[in-house]
Amino acid sequence: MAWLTIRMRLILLTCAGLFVLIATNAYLTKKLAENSAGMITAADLLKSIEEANNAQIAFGELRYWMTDLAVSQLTMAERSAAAARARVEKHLDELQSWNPQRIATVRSEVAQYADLAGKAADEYTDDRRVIGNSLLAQARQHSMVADQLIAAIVQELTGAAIAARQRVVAEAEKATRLSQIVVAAAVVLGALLTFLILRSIVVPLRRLTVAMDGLNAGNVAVAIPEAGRDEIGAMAQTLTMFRDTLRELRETLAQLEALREVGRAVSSTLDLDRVLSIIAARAVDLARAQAGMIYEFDEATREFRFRASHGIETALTEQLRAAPIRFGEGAISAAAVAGSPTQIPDLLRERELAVPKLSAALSGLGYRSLIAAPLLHEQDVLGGLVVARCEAGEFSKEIVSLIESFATQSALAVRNAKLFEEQRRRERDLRVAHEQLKQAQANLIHAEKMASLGQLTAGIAHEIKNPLNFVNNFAELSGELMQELRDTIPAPGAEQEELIATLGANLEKIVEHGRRADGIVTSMLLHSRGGTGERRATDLNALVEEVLNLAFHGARARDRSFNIVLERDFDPTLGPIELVPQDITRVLLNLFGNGFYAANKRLGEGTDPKFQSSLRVTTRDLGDQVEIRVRDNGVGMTPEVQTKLFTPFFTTKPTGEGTGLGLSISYDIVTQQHSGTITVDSRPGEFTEFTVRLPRRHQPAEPAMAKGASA
Amino acid sequence: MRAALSAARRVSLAICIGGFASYSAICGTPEEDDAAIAQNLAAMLRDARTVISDQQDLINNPQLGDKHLTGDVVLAQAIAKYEKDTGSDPKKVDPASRQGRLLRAMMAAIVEVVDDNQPTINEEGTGFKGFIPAVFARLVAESFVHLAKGEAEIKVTAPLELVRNRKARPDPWETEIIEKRLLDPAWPAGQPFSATVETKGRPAFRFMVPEYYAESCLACHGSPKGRMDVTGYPKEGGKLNDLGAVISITLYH
Repeated sequence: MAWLTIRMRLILLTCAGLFVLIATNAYLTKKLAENSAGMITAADLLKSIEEANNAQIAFGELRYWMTDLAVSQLTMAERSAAAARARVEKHLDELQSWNPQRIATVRSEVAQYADLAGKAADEYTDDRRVIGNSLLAQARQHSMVADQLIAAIVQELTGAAIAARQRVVAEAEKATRLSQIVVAAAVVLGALLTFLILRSIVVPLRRLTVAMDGLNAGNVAVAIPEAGRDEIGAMAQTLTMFRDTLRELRETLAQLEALREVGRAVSSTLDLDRVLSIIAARAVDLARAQAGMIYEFDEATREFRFRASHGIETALTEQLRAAPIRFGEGAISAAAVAGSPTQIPDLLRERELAVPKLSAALSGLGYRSLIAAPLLHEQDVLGGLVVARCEAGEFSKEIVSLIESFATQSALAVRNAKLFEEQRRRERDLRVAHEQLKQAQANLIHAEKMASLGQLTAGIAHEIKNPLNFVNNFAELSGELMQELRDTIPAPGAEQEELIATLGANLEKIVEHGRRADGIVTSMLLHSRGGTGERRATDLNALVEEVLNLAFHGARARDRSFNIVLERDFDPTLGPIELVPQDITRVLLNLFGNGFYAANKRLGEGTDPKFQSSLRVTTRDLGDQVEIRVRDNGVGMTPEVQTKLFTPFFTTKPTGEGTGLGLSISYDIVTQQHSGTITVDSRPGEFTEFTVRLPRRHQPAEPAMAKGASA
Repeated sequence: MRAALSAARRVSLAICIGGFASYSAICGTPEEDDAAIAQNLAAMLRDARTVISDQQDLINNPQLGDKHLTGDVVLAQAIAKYEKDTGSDPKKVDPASRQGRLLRAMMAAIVEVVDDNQPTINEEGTGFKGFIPAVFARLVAESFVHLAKGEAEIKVTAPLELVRNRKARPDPWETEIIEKRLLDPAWPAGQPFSATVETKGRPAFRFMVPEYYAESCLACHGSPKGRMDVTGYPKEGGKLNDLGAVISITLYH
């Protein structure tokens, strides 16, 4: 009945009651009208009876007064008789219409009686009693006739009145019975309608009351009766809106609380995994979903990498972590491209946006739909938030908005984490730079010292070199002379032989160490003197090949057991390069020598029986630059060593095997003399690779503040 | 005018109590004689009626049986009143004269009526006996008509609506005189009307003496109108000095 308004129901109830009332009233009115007609007839008959009775009574009075007149002779009796006669006539007049003929007969009889009785009275007045008696006897005859006529009329009228009354009574009883039936039916129907209408009002009202009590108690899940089209339906709608508003408020409050918690987590901790886990958990809770995942975008690999989750099984977590999503795949990429959330309402049907393996894994676990929101900072993609649930279908606008909010928070967290990492890296870099600066400062001081020492050394070396040349030359000459002396002695004695041999050996040692000293002095002079060669267009490939061979054979000359696999990968399109061949030769000799040393050292360690030392040399044309890569598979270097690699006099070689000046000199040659760059990449126990890049054309060198691995 | 009205009232009172001077019928015209006779007959009737009126307490005394109120007693008292009113003795009027005959018939009628009603008057145990002055006057009049033997008639009548016994109904002539003369406001109170008219086929002198209600009359004829009086007859609602009765005397020639 809720399709009718309460007012309409009440109007219908009233109309039904009024209809019954009016119908009953109309019927009763009709019956009453008929009964009224019958009653009028009966009343007319009764009136006629009354008139007849009155006429009879009046006629009796007439007779009485006439008799009284005859006896008393009082005029009062005469007047009373006259009045009685008048009443008789009057009553007969009233009866005239009923039956004029019979009334005329009565009139005639009454008139004759009155006339004779009056005459009798006159006779009595005149004391003629005999005549009076005679006349009165005649009058008596008419009196009896008139009396009988009137009595007959009364009787006839009474019968007719009784019949009329019985008809009226019968009709009234019939109408009463019918009206009682109608009233009883109306009462029953009215009671039934009233009960139904009251029930249609009271029951929903009671349900509304229960719902309102529930809402007052804070139960937003309370069931609200279905809203009909009536006033209670309007109340139910209003209550539903109130409940929905309350629920939305609660949800909004929960969202705000969640966002506040997330914001607090974002602002209170730099543990990105923890923050992202919290965000995923809250997003899942508030989106009434079952699983949440947060991916971080790796700009380098252009992949979304799984970073945090909530509600995901461990196995799936590992699976997701091991299977990054390439940019361009899946809803997460679509969301990143669109800059707004993207949904997959049904994982079982979606083909375009789904990542096959991921969708299969999720649907296999019962998830049916997901929504992905990008983590954006300005135009940069930082990652994506994915929320999955077990039921298919579109996510509501509120949830989409909520996911966007969480994505924003996630982006902020990721951004903060990145900034924090950047900050930490910068701090670390600064610390390193600071250390390097301090080292450079120390190096500079040291360099200054070394420069002074160099200059001093250069002077000393220059001064030493001449006498050393003398020593060497004369030692060699002495050696030759000793040989000649021996040759001049035809039969040297044993003592002589021993003496000559000892002298020869001494001379050889003098020569050896003299040459060594000469080498040291020469190096000292070269280091202190700087580049002095002329630039010329040089076939770098040929130069590298020449130096490589020279170095290899030099090494083998020093150590016959030395061996190494040389790999060459020269760019034939390299073309001529402007450089100082002697200096670059020195650089290459240093690099090759170091490579041979490291590879040979690793070989010597014998940790890997299958190890085969190798050195790979690669040249590449980079356009305006050429690149030379020298990679050995030797012992490698720690980062700490790498940072000090180009520092003058820094060496990891045993004393006597390295001066610590080779790479320092090489660095100066490449960077300052040729405006190039030299870098090193190494991993301890695996490899070391030097990369030298030289401009094709000479460019003025920029002053280098410090030497380092990344220089 | 005021003196005349006062005199009329005195006359009316006199009528009611029967006080009229006796008229001499010796030396006048025939009409004057008839008037004197009629006047004296009326006086006698009124005086006898006054006696009966005066004796009502005695008559209606239930404890008393024989009241000794015989015809002679009443006549004696009536004559005494007559003499007092008229200054003449009716018994001394010549019995051979018309007046003498008629007065004696009147006196005989008085005696006859009272004597005929002795059983009523003397009935012990009954209070009101209905032997009132009006009934007495009507009975005396009826008896007088009988005793006068057609020479004269006397009737105490009244305006038609006031007549209680139909024997006292005025005839058409009387009715006309009452309505046109005696009830005329301009009619001098107490003044009789007389005329000689043919009555019942005979020439006759007719004499109409108006009588007016006195205070004692109103007990039965006064207000409230319609209430039953002591006789069981409805009161007429009359007022003091209203025309209440007319003594109509007819003297046949």
